Formats: sequence, structure tokens, C-alpha cells
Amino acid sequence: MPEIRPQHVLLQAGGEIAARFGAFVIPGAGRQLIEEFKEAHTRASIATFQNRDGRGQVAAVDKPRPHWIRNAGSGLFEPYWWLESLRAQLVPDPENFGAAGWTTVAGTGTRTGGQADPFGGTSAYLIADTDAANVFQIQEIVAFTGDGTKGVAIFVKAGSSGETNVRLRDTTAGADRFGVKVTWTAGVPTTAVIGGAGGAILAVEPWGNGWYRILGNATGVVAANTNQFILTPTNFTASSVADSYFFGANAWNALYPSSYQGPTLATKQLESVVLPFPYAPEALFVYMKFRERGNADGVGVSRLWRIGSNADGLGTPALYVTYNTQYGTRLNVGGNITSGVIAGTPAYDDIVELLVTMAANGLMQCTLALNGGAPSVGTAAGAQTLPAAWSDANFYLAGMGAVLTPLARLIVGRSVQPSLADVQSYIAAS
Amino acid sequence: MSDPVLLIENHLSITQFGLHVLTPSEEATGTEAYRVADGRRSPLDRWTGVTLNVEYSLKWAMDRPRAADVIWCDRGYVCPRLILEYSDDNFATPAQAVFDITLPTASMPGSIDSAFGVRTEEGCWIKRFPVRTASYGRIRIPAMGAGLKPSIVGLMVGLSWTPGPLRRPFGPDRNALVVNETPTDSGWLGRGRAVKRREGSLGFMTTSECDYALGRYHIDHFDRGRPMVIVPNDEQAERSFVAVRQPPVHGLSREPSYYYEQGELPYVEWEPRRR
Repeated sequence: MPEIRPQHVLLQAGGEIAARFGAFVIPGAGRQLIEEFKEAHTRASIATFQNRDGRGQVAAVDKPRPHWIRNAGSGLFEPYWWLESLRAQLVPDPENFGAAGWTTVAGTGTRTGGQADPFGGTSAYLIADTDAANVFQIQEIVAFTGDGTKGVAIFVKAGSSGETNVRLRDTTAGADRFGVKVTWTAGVPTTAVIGGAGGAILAVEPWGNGWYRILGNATGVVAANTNQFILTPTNFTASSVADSYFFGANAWNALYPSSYQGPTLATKQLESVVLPFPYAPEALFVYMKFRERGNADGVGVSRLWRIGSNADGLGTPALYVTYNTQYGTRLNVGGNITSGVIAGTPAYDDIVELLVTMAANGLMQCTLALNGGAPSVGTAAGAQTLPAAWSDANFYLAGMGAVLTPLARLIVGRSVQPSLADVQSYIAAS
Repeated sequence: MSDPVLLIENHLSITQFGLHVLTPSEEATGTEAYRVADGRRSPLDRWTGVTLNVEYSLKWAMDRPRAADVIWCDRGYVCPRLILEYSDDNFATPAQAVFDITLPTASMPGSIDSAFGVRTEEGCWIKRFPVRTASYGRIRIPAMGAGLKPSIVGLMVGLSWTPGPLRRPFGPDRNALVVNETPTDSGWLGRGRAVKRREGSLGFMTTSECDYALGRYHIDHFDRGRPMVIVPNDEQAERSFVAVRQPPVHGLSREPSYYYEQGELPYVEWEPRRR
């Protein structure tokens, strides 16, 4: 059984590394050198994330995001390095629920802005149904491109109402493509898909100060129809007079929701990381632990990581991992592509451990474990002679396709061909 | 826990981190902001400004997101209340608040994790907080009142290292008396002012190769003569002191009797308090 030792490790990266070693990327097994080994992180726009207190933060252009996600098992927030693809957000007024674009569906109500929001500002709204004769709701049209499944998300917080509802409704077809009913108990939500509605609730994220972000899929969206994002502060009983807090309605032309995009962030740009990798091709392993947040979107195009291949991803020789109905690795030497794949489709927000080993003869094998469960090992496949050098001396993270990955830990090592248990033992020891 | 805590990293030091930039709300000639991390402990070497009764702030912009979990303020500070904040957009949007503390005015036994931090026996202040990772850090010192302004002699913020129990013997109170003395012909000693200076050695015994890999980074800073805050016992942070390495060759090595690295790092207290 190969045992990983510090001298086998070429680099480590990720949120866990930052919390333990002080920076997102370190050479070898520890921060051994004061002359540092640094990442080049680029993103041509600002982006948002959640800090360890559970509150929203904004990262400036090109600044990495230390995103903290609550571990449902321990209840503790754990650090990740948020890596995302380009995302154009489609709700015209994601925060200003008093804007003209948000129209009243029926009844009488009030929309009171200036409420404390999850980002430490005062851009949230308290929306109240003040009319005991109708169900007060507001709606805004979302213009999608292309039919199919779409990612949606919104922040909600308990007001005086015991129930809050949010829908993406196709008013042309008279169908809810997504609908979530939030039932409040002492400010804590219980969510369920509204009866008859389509879509799925992917996650309910706790944020600070009573806020929760609901992320979901809207299914069967027909872009040519009129699709309305509808906020209902109460239940659907006309006599209800109560209120709920809302903030940050988002929708995307993509399968999965991503990080929050406010009115100043209509388009969040592609995130890309380049790490120096001045090492020759040889037997190596690459372990990556991350949250599955939608790498399956953009089948076959995304690159979770790649060695060589140049900035455009086209150079050879190169080695990379993509998702094309399943995770798999590709070794491309002058157009001769060999591949090792692993069956198993992670669900949204699963904690994925993906280990790729490549032997000195180019034989590759993938191992996958979900949520700390038993690993499944793919069939070894794809031996070919390793090249003398990679096409460039870089290790790339994300930067191509629809990668949506909060990265917990990346370990790139040489010489040994460890099992997943070996890697986990090394992590436990370090 | 009763483990030692070592703080060597200082994100405010432009010697350690040459690409970091300090930006004070104001600074006066002779009391510039860089002096908080220049290694000098004299109360005359400090950061302060001119304007009275206003909020002072000192921001450090880092070259990459860095994690920190300990803050230490050198003796001689005039700072009744301290706010520590982090940001990833240069404080353009509401910052990530770490704490807002009224500093204790007296030294008493306390854990490094205590809510208000601990004033040490020599008059420094230290506190450990849940680890933060961000690109920008900032302290704020709210207006102190009419006719008053803050003053900071030394400030360290960084990621600490808890190496595990130190090898025995370890005596954080072992010290030398530093004094000029001249014996008279009657055998009496004529002495100048005497200073107690702690000296000793940190004995490490790593328990794995990975242990050593992490420690090398911190030891490397120490090896270059940079001051290190030594908290001998995290439950008794009031006994913390600052030390630098002694010149002779030292370091961790593998000995015949034990597989992993072990060894001694001799230290001497850095600019001890005179009294």
C-alpha cells in the first residue's frame, strides 16, 4: 500500500489549506518557504460569498473568495475556495422590490425597503399583505434564453407570517416551474415544493441574522412564454394579513444556481486560477475535495483542473479532468487522447472526493467518494507514453466551462499511486 | 489545552511580507504607521497621529488572502478600545467584524481565547480569535475623548502555530540578570540598573513528517531573527513574552534515538521591560 509522505507532495490548495497553513496555495506539505509559491487568481468582476459568521461579503475584482459553508453533520462552517464560471443573472431588479418592474398580482400590500440585509446593508424589503380580501403578491418578468431547467435562488427571512412562498411561474402556460413553500417555526424555515409546482429545492443555506437562501431548479421553462418571479409574503389564504422579508432574487440560464448576484453584478465573470507547476510528466496523483455545485452544467466543456494545455485549454500535452455525464480524466499527447472515467453522479452540494492517479506508463484511474462514503474505483484505462514535458508549466483550476466548485482541498503529488484511504490518512496526519 | 502558542507571522510587517501595504487614517512624522511592525519595543517608537478625539484606523492590504487567528499589541499602547475587521473588497462594502473589545486595564490570569484578550505581565495585550481569511485587515480605535489620541508601539496579526507540548525541560521563567557590575576592592559589587531577561530554549519533538513540514515555515521566520511571541501555555496567556533567536547554530534534526525531527531553538527575550 503506497504511503504518501511530505516529499511526495508538489502542491496543496483550497479552503482547508488556508485555514491551516495561512494561504490558499502552498508548496509541498507545508508552508516551508518564506519565498512564497503563489496563485494567480483572476475574475474580471466582483463576486459574493459567505464569511465564517454566516454573513454575506463582497470580493473585489481578482480577489479570491474564502467561502464558508455549513457542514450539515457538524453544524460548523467550513472554509472553501469558491471557484465559479461566468454567470449572467436575469432578474432585472434582484433587490429593489419597490421598482416598477415588480408589479402587484392582486390585493393590497406594502413594500418597505431599508431593511437589514444579509450583507450588512439595508437593501432588504419587508413585504406585507395588508388586505384580508386578497392574496397580495408581487412579480417580475424574467427573460430566459432557451428552454429547459434553470437555476433560481432567493433570500427569505421570517416576518409576522408563518408561511412564505416563492415561485417562478409560467403565466402563459399557467404552470409553476419552481415553487417553494417556507413554513416558519421561531424563525427557522421548513421548506417544501408547492403542490403542483415543478422544480426542486437544492439547498437552504443559513445566513446571518435570520436570513436563509433558498436555491433551486426550475424545470420545464419555456423561454418564449412569460415567466414571472413571484413573491408571496403569506400563505395563499386571502384572509391572511402578515409580512415576510425578502432579498436578492436571482435566476440564470443555467441548470444550477450560483453565488448571489446583486444589481451591480449582472454578469459575474469567469474565475480562473493558475498555479506554477514546473514539473515534468511522471507518475502522479491529484486529489480534489470539493462541493458539487453544478460542474455537470456544460457537459464535456468544463475543466475542473488541468496540467498544461495553455491558457486557452487547447495545448498538448495536457492532462485534465472534465465532466461529461461522469467525471473523467483525459491525457492528451499530440491529439492522442486516453481517458479514465468513474461512474457516479454527485447530487447538488455533495462533498466529492475525486482522486486521479496516473502511472509512469500513462495508465490512469479515477476514484470517487461522496459525502465521506465508500469509494468507488473506476476501471484503469488509457496507457500511453508520457511526454517529455507538458505544453506549459502551469496547473490550472477552473477557468473553463461551467465549473461551480467550492474547493476544500487539492493535493498534487508525484511518484506514488495512493488509494483514497492513503490520501485521507495523509490529510489526517497533516 | 495547556499548549504553547507561537506567533511569528505578522501581516503588518513589510519585512516579512514585502508586498503588503499599510494605510493609516493618519500618521505624524516620526510616528509613522510602519513603526508598529519594525521590531522596536521602545515606547518612543510608535504609531500615532496628530488629531485628537477622532477615530484612528490602520489598514493592511495583503498580496493574497491570508489567514490569521492571533493579535498581539506591544506594551505601551494607548488604546482603550480596539475593533478588528476584515474585508475582501478593500472595505467598500460592510466589513467582516471579528471583535470590538474594550481592552483590560490590568494583567490577570487568562486564556488566550478569553473574550477580552489578556493583558500580559509586562503590559502587552494578546488575543486569539477564530481563524479568518481575507485580503484586507483593519484595526479601528474609536475616538477616545477630548484631548486624547491613541498610540500603538507594536502590533502583530497573523496565523499562530501550536506545535504541541514542548520537550522538557522548558522553563519560560528562566532568566538572566543583565547588569554591569564592578567589584570593589572590599568585595562589594557596584551595579548599574539590572534587567531580568528571559532566556531558554524551545524543545520540539515532532510526531510526524507532516508536523515538521508545517513547523518549518514558522521556524524559518524565527531563524531570520524575527521576533516571536511565545505563549508558554494558552491557558496562561498573561505569561507571554517576545523573543528572538540566539545566534549559534541550531535547528531541528533527526537524532539516533527518535525517528522524526526534534531539537532545540534557543531564544532570548527581546528588549525586556526595564524596571
